[in-house]
Amino acid sequence: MKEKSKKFFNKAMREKVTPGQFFKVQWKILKELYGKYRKETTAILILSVLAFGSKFIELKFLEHITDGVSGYLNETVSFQEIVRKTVIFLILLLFVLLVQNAYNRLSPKYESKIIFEVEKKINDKLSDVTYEYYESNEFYEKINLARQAGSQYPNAVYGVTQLIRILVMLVVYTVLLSKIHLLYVLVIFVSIAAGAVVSAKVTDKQLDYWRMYVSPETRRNVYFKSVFRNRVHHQNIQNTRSIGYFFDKYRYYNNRERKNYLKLNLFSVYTELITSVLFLIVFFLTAVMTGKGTVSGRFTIGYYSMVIALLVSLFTVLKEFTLFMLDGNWYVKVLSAYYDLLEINKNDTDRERGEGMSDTAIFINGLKYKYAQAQSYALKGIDISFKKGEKVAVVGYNGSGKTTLISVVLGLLKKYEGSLRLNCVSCTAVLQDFGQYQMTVKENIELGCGGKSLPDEKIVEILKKVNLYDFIASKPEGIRTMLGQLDKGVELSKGQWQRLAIARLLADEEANVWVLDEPTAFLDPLAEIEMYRFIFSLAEDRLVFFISHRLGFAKNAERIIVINDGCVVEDGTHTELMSMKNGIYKEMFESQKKWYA
Amino acid sequence: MVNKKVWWVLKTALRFCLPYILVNILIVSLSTGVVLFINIVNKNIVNSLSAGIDAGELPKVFFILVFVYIILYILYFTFGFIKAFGSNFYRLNVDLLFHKIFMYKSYATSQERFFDHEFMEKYSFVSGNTSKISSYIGSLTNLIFSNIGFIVGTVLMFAVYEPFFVIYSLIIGILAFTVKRYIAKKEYELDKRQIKELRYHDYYKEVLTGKPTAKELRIYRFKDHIFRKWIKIYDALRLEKLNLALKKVSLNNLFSVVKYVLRGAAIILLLRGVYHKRYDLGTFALLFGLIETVFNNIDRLMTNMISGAHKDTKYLTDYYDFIMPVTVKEIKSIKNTQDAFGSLPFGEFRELTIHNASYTYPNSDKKAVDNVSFSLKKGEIVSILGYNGSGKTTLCKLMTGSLPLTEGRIFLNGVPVCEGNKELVFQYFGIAPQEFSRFSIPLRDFVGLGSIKDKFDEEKLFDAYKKAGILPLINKYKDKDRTVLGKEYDEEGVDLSGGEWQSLVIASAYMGEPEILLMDEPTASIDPLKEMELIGNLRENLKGKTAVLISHRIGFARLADRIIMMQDGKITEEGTHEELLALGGYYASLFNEQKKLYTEEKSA
Repeated sequence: MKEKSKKFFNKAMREKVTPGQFFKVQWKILKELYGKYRKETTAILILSVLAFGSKFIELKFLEHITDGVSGYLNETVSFQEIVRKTVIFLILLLFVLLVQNAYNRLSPKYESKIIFEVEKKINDKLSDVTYEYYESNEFYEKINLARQAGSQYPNAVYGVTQLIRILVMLVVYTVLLSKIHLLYVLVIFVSIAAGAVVSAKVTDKQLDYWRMYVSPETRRNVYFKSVFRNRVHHQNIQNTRSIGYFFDKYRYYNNRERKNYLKLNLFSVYTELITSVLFLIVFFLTAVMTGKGTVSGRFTIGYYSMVIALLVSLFTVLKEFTLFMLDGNWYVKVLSAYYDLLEINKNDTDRERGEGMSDTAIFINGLKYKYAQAQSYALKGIDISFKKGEKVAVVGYNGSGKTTLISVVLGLLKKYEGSLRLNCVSCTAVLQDFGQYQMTVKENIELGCGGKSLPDEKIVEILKKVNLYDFIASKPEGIRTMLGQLDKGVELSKGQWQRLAIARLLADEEANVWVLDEPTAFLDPLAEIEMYRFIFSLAEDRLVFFISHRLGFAKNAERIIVINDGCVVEDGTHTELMSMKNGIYKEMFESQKKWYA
Repeated sequence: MVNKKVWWVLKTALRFCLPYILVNILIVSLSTGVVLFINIVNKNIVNSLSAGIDAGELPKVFFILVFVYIILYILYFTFGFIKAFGSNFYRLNVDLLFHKIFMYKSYATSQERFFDHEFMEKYSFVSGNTSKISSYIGSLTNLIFSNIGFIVGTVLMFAVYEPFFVIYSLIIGILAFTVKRYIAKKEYELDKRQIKELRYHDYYKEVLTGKPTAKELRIYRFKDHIFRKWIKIYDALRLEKLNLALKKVSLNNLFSVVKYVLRGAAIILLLRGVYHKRYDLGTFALLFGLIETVFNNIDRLMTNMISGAHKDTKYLTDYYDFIMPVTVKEIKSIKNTQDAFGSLPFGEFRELTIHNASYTYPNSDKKAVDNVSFSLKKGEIVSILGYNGSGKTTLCKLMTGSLPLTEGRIFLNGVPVCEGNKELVFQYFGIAPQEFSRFSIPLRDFVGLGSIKDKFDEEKLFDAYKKAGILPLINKYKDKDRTVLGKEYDEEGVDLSGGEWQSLVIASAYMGEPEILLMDEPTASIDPLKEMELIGNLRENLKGKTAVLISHRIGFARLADRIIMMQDGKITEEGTHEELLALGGYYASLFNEQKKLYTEEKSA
């Protein structure tokens, strides 16, 4: 289990964050926030420090009122004196209360704004980076971390205010306690600091443990717990009656999570033990020293009460701070993942775009491509060029590299070796796993031309072309019919969705390269034949690539290229390829032809 | 506050998780007692100190009291950790129980309900909030054993020294209750109201940043469009939430002022007692400290009570409505369901007959399957062909009992398939559905799920691998058939291509040699040679068993003993290949058109 779980964490995740890094990130964000929301940031900082004053006032209040009452009971102080002091302290507390209220009102607005900003930046970036990042797992890890940045980001301000509070507290408490003895104050602070450091270390271990042994189990248990939420999953679990299997998995990981969680909690025993012993010593010492001082008349009884209350609060505040510093470890990682994400892709160069008089549209030379985590190259050196207006069929087995080559041409994969020159090329495509967008019919088509609005007539024209108009027109809302399950939309069949995907292709009139990756897989055979004829009749002088397993269609292409194991192995017309001995194309074609014997 | 539905949930939790809940209750009550005790000890310390001032030296009892005081404080701190420990323990158990019931209930829900939007809305609400039950029980425990216990203790102390304080506690309690209840109600309403928008928000975000749409987003360059939509909806949701948060802050602020005034009044009352010299210094210190803590505790009490009484009870009620009816016996019997599968309930497969079957989807007014009758005999291979949306897939779902018939009847071996025995029918089928799930589990489990009663039998698994031709794929991985598919489960998992997934689905259908093999578009993304191999081996693999093939591929039709053509939910043609060619109908035109592609010289 140890080995396996460790793999869940990328090395970077396990590295410790130094206080230096912590403050650096803190400072960076504070500067950013100050630059962007100057007034709010300043107000938040000031208000939160002021609000901290309540602790000090409460302590002093306790001291004075206890002294007052004690004096009154011993008849050394008049009752009016107590009332006067009480009123003063109540007024002071009212002031602090108002400050707190102002802070409470300001902070949700401030946070909400900041989180929105961060979310915007992340989503903007994610939808902007090259597609190939989506092929890498590290990227996902980074995204997951960065996604938490929204909630961590505003903490920069809280971190600073916390720090200021602690400093203020140390000064105030030193002043209050120095009455006992300066050396004593030193002893207290040193022992408390020691306690804080120890508990920091232990909690840090706990955090590591959590990340390594608890959170992976949580992830799995959540996966199996929520597997039902998906309609298709539900259907397939029902079909196979495999609920027992999924439930057992869920229970197993739930138990694992629980066990590890309990172990995690056991770590706290150390912290509790150590801090308790420290607390015991410091507290006892203080109580006895101040008690003796009180009896001898050095201190008042109010001072004694105050000191005890102060020590309790000192412990809690320092404990909070330690926890905050520990979260800092996480905080820095989250935020550095966020900044890394924003930096991604910045320096990626655009593709070479030749300006050309020649009729070559795409010129590929020595093209190699390797996926981020793959062992071997998916494309192993391709030299080929395509003329304008050519109709090219791309044929090959599953996993031979067809899709990779097409993705490079489409600009989805940019980290290739070799050269790719495009001559005034603008591509559009119908992909095998085309999108089924939960929007209106009109919007679904408009997405094909970047989401810009098209006139209704144009939409109708396209729908007619792909033979979907009759169906859509029969719906009460026509082309504004909502599709999909998101909001009581109309459910389309896979074939109808496919027609819509082809409609998207037609929406972009400026495109001069079409890539069709199994564009008719979900149409029935007659419609398929019709659709192919239709697409080619509209293609005009465009360069068309199409990938199909139905070689009856490939046969009629001007040019057929066969890709096998990352290389172009055959290139020519149908007749040429059929005359090759042991050709892959020939073998595939013959095997399909048999059906029609 | 606790209605019948909530009571049922609580009862169930107590019945199944009593020990865990009891441990938690014990811990909570102890920690409350400690806090009260600390205050009392403190009173005595102050008094002994003040006696010491008079006597000129510290009495011995002072040292003992201080020691006790510190020990209590340490206990109090330590309880924080023990509390976390205890609550974890019971939470995970309670969660497990209620998720279990939910999972089995949703498993038993008919597939057709998933096409119903209202149901889906409720479903996702309940499934997202099931863990609220354990937090409800937690807040209830805290409410009763911590807050109420503490308050009762404090009020008793107040009653001894200053009966007026009891009334103060009451006033602040009522106020807190009103404010918090209002907020909780609003929060719940907002949650419910935002469900729809939230779904849109999640969807746009998914389109914008998810992998499935990442390619098209870039090819069609529609990022800006979606981005604008996302921002619009996000901002609207955000502002709504912010408005509620600000309202909450205003109310809480108001409440804090009221609390301040009441505290002031309480202090004045206390001073009045001092004026009359009704209590000694220690008692004064005790009461002074308690005023502060009692307010905080009432505050907390109300929070727990409200989240118990209003917010979470609503979630609990929704949960109850979803899972009902269910009996305790049923819950107990939810354990290895796969043990229930035995031998085939109606004997070896002989015949499946469908009589005038019709089906209409919940959101539609058109019959997806319209008055269809046909029969399937042992050893036959039947191929169903037809336009998209002609009802082929629906027909298959009716056959397997996944969808209920709107009209008509189905007989298996002459026994009518009805609600009572529908559950048993599936054992006859090995299904390769068109919409398959890419479960992130080990490969062998994925295939094994095809026949769960075989409990992942090695031999049967190997047989299925061989039939689906996935042995080369398996041998490619170093963990062989224990390789985990997908990354959700384990980051070491492998990503498969569409074709590879599909061959796994075929293997899963072959698993356990089902009486009827049912494949719906099994080769849509498999390359031609592989497809040929699968089609070629089919008859041999079946070993005389029955098969229903739904496909666009003529290859499958050629293989079949009988071909059924469907159009608009009806069967239009039925017969062998030769018969249908002679008929000259749709099938004939289909065959000839495709044949031309392969034989004619230049067509397009």
